[in-house]
Order: sequence, then C-alpha cells, then structure tokens
Amino acid sequence: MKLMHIADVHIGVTPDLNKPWSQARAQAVKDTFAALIGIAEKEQADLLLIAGDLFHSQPLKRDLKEINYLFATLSRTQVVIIAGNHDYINPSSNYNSYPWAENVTFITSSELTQAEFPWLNTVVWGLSYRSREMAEPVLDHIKAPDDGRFHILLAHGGDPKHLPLNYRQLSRAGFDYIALGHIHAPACSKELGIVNVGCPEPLERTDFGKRGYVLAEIEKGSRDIRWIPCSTAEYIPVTLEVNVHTACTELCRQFADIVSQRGRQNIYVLTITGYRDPDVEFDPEALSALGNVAQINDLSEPEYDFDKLYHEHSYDMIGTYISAFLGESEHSSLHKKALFYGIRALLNNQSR
Amino acid sequence: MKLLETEIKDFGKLHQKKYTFGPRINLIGGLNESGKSTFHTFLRSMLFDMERGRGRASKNDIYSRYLPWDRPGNYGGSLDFTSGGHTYHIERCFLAGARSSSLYDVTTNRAIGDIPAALPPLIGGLRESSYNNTVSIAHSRAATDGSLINDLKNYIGNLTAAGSGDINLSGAVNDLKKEHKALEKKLLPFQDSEYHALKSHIADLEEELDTRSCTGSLEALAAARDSAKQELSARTSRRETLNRLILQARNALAGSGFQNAEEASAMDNRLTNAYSTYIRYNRGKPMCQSKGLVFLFNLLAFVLLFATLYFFHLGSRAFLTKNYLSSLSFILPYLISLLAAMHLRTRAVKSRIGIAAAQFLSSYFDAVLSDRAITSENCDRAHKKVVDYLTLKEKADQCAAEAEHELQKIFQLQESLNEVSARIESQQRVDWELDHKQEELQKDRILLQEMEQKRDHNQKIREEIDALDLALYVMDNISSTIQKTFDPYLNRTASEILESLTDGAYSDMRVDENLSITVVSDYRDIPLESLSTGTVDQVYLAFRLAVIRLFWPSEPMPLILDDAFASYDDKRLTGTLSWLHSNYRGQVLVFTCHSREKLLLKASGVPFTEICI
Repeated sequence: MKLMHIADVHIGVTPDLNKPWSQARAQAVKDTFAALIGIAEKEQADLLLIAGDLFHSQPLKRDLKEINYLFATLSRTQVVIIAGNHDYINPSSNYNSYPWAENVTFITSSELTQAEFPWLNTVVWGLSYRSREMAEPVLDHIKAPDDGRFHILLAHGGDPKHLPLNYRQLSRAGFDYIALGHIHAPACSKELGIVNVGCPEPLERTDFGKRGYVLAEIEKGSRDIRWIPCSTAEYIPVTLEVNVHTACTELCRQFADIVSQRGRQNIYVLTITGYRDPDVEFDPEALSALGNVAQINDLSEPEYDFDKLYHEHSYDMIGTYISAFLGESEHSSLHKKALFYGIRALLNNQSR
Repeated sequence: MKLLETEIKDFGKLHQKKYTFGPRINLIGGLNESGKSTFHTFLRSMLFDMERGRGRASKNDIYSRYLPWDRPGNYGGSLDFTSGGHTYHIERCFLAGARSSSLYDVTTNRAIGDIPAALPPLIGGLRESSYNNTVSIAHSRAATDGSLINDLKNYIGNLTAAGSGDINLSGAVNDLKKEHKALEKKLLPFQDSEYHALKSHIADLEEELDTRSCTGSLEALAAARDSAKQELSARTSRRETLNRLILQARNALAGSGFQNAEEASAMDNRLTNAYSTYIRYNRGKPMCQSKGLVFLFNLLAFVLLFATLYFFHLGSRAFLTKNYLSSLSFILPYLISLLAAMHLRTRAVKSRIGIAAAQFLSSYFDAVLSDRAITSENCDRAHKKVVDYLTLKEKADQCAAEAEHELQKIFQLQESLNEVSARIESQQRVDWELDHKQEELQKDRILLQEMEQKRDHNQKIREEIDALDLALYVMDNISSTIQKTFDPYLNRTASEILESLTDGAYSDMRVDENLSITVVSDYRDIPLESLSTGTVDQVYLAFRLAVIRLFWPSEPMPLILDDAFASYDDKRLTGTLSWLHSNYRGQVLVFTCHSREKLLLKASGVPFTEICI
C-alpha cells in the first residue's frame, strides 16, 4: 500500500512580512502544494495523508474550492485530511459541511474516528482540532486491532498544549504507520514507524534546512519510508567572522560569495562575530542588498585594548571613564555597549 | 620640572643658538621679528613633537612655517630638563623623511625608548593641548570668552589627580548626544497600548467566531421561500381564473333579468302557481258574462230575502205556518240564489285570476322565451331557465367564496414570504458579517505581526539608546565628581591668588558647575563679561595658577607667559611679577618685546635671568 504524507502546508501564510520576497514565498507555498498533488498523481499513491494545518487560518469558501479542484484531479489517490491548531474547526468554519470531491475524506470530529478503505484493506484513524489547543493526551492508550488490515494513525500535535504524545506507547500501539503534523522540522523514526513530516516549504527564519514530504510503501511486517525534499528555498544561517582589518566592503564581498555559492533563491540569517576596528560599522543595508537577508545579528565588538588604554590614559577622562566600568564584576551587554560608546566618543574628541 | 638649557640647530630663523634657563624668572626678550614665538614654538615642538597638517593644511602648518629653507638637514634641536630628580636630554629632528627623537636619562645614563609613552609622565603628564590650557598663557587666550567657558569646562572635566588631559569632554558628550538623537529618530512609532488593544481585539474576534452558529439554515430558508413563492403564484392565478369565471357568470346572470336568487325562486313560484292557476281556472278564458249573471242572482237573492223577511213579518201576525213555510220557501231559493251568486262571483274571480295568470304567463314567456304560448313545455323551459339561473348563481357564489378564500390564503402567504425573506436577509447579513470578520481577523493578525516587528526593532535600538544614556550618565558623573572634589579648593585658591594679584581689589571668585566665573567685589557678584580685559586676564591667570597648584602640588612646572601682560598697566605688572617671584615656586618664562618688564623687575629688585633672542 503506497501512501504520501504531508503536513503544515499553511496555505495563506505570509512569511517574512514586509520583506521583498514575502509575497513570492507565500505563492511558493501554494505552488508547492499543487506540485505535491501532481506528485501524488504521478506516483499513483493509494492514500494522501494531510496531517493538519493545511491552511494558516480559517479558510474561505473560495480557498476550499481551489484545493478541492486539485483533489478532484487525482485519479487513484484517496485524500484524508484532519484540521490542525491553526485551521481548527469552529462553528462558523467553512470546513463544516463543505461538499468535498468523492476521493476526499475530511475527518471533522475531535474524537478519534476511523475512515475505512476496504479496497485498500486499510483503516485511517484520525482526529481534528475543534479549538485552538488540545492539552489532553487523548492518544495515550489507543490500540489498533490486529485484524490483518493496515492501520494508519493521522494526528496533529506533539507538544504539551497541542496533543501531547507518548512516542514509546504509540510505537507499541500496533499501527503500521503514524502520520504526524505540527512540528515544522522533519523527524522520522523508520524503526518505530512514527513520522513527523514537517512542512513542505519553510515558513519562518528559524526553519533552517530543507523541507519536504514522505512517500512510504507499507507491507505487513515491513515499511519503506522515504523523506523527499521539495522546498524551493531554504533559510540558511551564516556566520561571518571579522577582525580589526575587515572593512565593510570586504564583508559584503564575503557575503556575496556565499550567496552565489549557496543559491540566490535562499534566505539568509546573518550573524557577525569577532572584534572589529572601532571606527568601522557594518552597513546592514549594503548586506541586505546582496541577497535575501531575513535578519542580521551584529555581535561584533569594537576592538579596544582596555588595559592598554587605561594605562595610556590614566591621567585623563578616558582612564577615569574606563575605571568607572572596570569596577563591574559582570560585564552585561549594556555596560559593554556604554563603555564602547563612551570610549569611542572620548577618543574621537582627543585633541593632539 | 625645570628647563635647563636648549640648543637650537635650525628652526625657522634661529640657527645654532644655545640658551640657558635660570631657575626662577626668565625674561625672554627681543624686538619684534626677533624670533620669540619661534623660540616658543621650538620649545613646544621639543616637548610635544610636531604634527604635520594633512592635505591642504600642510602648506601652512608649523612644519612648513619653520622649515629652514637653506639648511633643512638640521631642522631640530635639543632640550635639557630636570624632572623628579633626574636630568633628561631630548633631541629631535623634524625633517620629513628623517624624523627622529631620542630621549636620554643623563642621570642614569640610559636611553629611553617609546618616547610618546615615556615622555609625558616626565613632564607632569602634559600634552600640547593641556599645555595651552594650563602652564602656557598667551594674551590672546583671555579675550575669547566663548571658548573660555568651553576650555574651562574641558579643563575641569579633564582634571585628574595626576595631571591635565587633552580630551574635549563637551565634544565627546555632544557626539554621544548626536548619536542618541540619531537613534531616537530611527525608532518606529509603536504604542504599547495600541499593541495590547489589537491583541485583545483579535482575541475577541477569535472568540466570537468560535461561538457563532454556522451558516447551514440559509439553504432551508431559501427552499421555504421558493415553495412559498410557487404556492403564491399558483393561488394568484387560481384566483384570477375564479374571478374571470365570476365575471362571466355575473354577466350571464345580469342578462337573465333576475336581481337575486330570492327573486328568481319567487318568480319561479309565481310561475308554477300561475300555471297551475291557469290550468285550474279554466285556462284563462274570460268570463265576462258572469258579471251580469252575478248581478242578477244578487238582485234575485236580495228580492227573495226581502220577500222572506216580509212574509216572515207577516207571518208573525197571523200565526200561520204557511208563512214560515213560504218564508222558508223563499229562504231556500234565496240561499240558492245567494250561493249561485257567490259561486258565480267566485268563478268570476277565479276566471279573473286565471286570466291574470294567463296574462302573466304569456307576457313572461314572451319576454323570456319569445313565445307567448302557454304550454307546459314553455313552462318547463321557463322553469329550467330559473333553475339554470339559480345553479349559475350558486356556482358564482361558490366561486366568489373560493376566490375570497384564496385571497385570504394569498395574504397569509405574502406575510410568511415577507417573513422568510426578512430571515434570509438577516441570515445573509450574519454570513456576510462572519466572512467580513474573518477577513478582518486575518488583516489584524498581519497588522499584529507588523507591530511585533516594529517592537523588536525598537527594542534593539532602545538597548543602544540605554547604553548611550549610561555612557552620558557616567561621563556626567565623572565630571561632576571631579568638580565637586576640586571646586571648593580651586575656588579658595584662585580667590587667594586673585586677591593677592589685584591687591585686594577682587578678593573672591567662584566657578560654578556651569563654569561661569563670578567675581565678588564690595559684596557684589560681578560676572566675568563685565570686567575689563586686563582684569579678566588676571582672573584667568589666578585661575590657572590655582589649577597649576592643584595639579602639581609637589613638583612645580614652568609657567610660560607669552606676551601675557600687554594690557597690564605698570602697577599691575609690578604687582604680578612680584607675586610670581614670591609665590610661584617654579620657573617662569616671560616672553616680551617690551623693555618695561626688565625695568620694573630691576626696579623692584626681583632677580631674573635675561635671555636675548
């Protein structure tokens, strides 16, 4: 039995709001979803499992129409969907009583429900979110019957406020495949058959790494689970080391090299570390112009040899200023910054 | 520190000159253009090295001005001085490309490397700028009031226990304040209250959408409305049909001649009666001759009656039964004739009735059937017409009733239709509101994200601003601490010196935190700006002398007065020079182009060394 497993598509999300690539990424999420449907068709999967958060918030009727159309293009695949904590089903939700295509089963109940597919000899167990949180570990004591059919669990959760899961218990519950959603970073345990597939496109700047979907072939007694990347862009963390000789243009050149090496389409999170020339300041706008820069953390510190300065300037303000700070036992970042600002101002106003 | 001697190899117009300094007052005189300022510049250059100007400034900087054009190779010289008990010898060459400096501790026979670091401690921590602020006094310095304050500010701000610094504190503070302002400009508008208001608004919207009922009933309502509409149109058309029928019937009924059913059935009764009367009463044959007969019989009856009565009357006289009999015999024919008359009359009446009935029937049949014949067929036909009328009328009435009933139903339907439409409208409004709220929620969520971005941005900037605030605070603290330490002593010392210098004219001076100097005279506060230039110079001098005393309490520094007494009159000058001789423990170098200092010193018996340029 061949199945495809996706989750947390979050159609409708606008990642990195107000950045130039925000709209392109929002569209990429939708395009990748359509592509995934195409893959399901190409692979002629028996089941397409969508483990929640298909939409980033309550879908409008026209949104449902679009995806229903895509589902209807599948010739063989049966789609099983549950609602997650973002697109949870409330009384005014359009998920209630939407006329889905024939091959779509939307499990709307918040209690564990079985969807049977006799011609596949399969039962899919699933439950949806009907509120924003689900703190009860309702899946802790379930057991799948040993009746020769394939039993698949479809659920959205894994943290204390959203369906806390006991993975060990789940692994012994007798399911042939456990399809999970909610956690955006993929984590598969092929031995236990528990798969947290993650989102198909990264959604925020802490989602480092590639993202994708899972294709699995299930037999009684064996499962072949493959996680396949499909994201069109990645968030990449980059650390740039600077020293007293590094100028802003050099840093820009370094970064430009990295961007051309690792891909212009990707989105970068920059961290600058090291000790820089006190007169040099790194221009965030110049760096942002070289690629998609989601965030710049400038952790570099101006290189001041405070001991030397203190010694040289023990007669004057600089020395006194430094001594005011050296009294501190802990160098909090506030004190460090104040020290730098003061020293720089004083040094710049030194008359010879 | 004391200057011992100096050798000028080549410096400006001074070539191969050697000068030895005296221990106390040195009068360095010479005519204008003799090289006094050259000499002073040379001394400064030896102590603090020579900075070359950058770029365009290099054309007119000190280096270029004093670069000997004929023998540049020896651009420089040497200076011997004592400090801390040791004697030092410093040699410098200023020529670009061949710059060199060497410092030699003569007492210990040691060369000292790293002159920029080692030299300042030997000369009491002096740097060029502090030199100008403290031990070197030129006349022009006192005149500029604006920078005086700043100088004093820096001056005081730079005071430390060991010596004077060269840092423009107010400049540094200004820089920090500028950075502070620039960062504040970068702050984005963000109100905490707005943010929390938006957050709770979103929570409210989410709660509302979570609890509002769903949209299902719209279809049911629409179906109800459609069926009601159908029924309404069906009934309306039915009513129209009925009305048409009624109209037709009414038209037909109108032509029948009857006004209503009662009239018709009355007429029918009349007809039936008339016909039966007609049949019974001799078919309407008139019996006009009966009238004459009737009269005759009546007359006979009357005569007989009279006769009867007469005979009866007669009879009563003569008790004759025959009269009774005869009366009786008259009575009988009387009765008979009366009866006959009556019978005739009734016959006449009946025949009249029969005739009337016949007339009635024939006229009626003529009117209605166009056939005067009084036949049973006609009678039946007339009767049938009535029956038809009655049936039609009844039907018309039925239709009218039904039409009325339909009308009632139609009213009901219209009412319920309005009600359903109203409910549909309100449900649609509810649906629209929900949709609208959903969109509003999405927009608000995005707005919240933006606000959070702004808040984070602002937070980062605030961290920097806080650091700047701390830096400013510390700087402020330092300068005010220093001020607090020195101010009273400084003021007291300066006041003493001033009193001494001015022979009691001004005995009290104060420098406050804003570094404005006030001078007290005759119990009045006088700001510095309102004093004469000469007095200001003295105040300045007093102040500097006080500072020098504070800085170098143990080892005195040379005091350099470069044309500092230009505005002093003789009396003041004498007083000042005497004071310096008595109170200043260190060297005093007085540069002057006048001879009066010399004369006055000689006159007051103050020993001095003369150096002629």
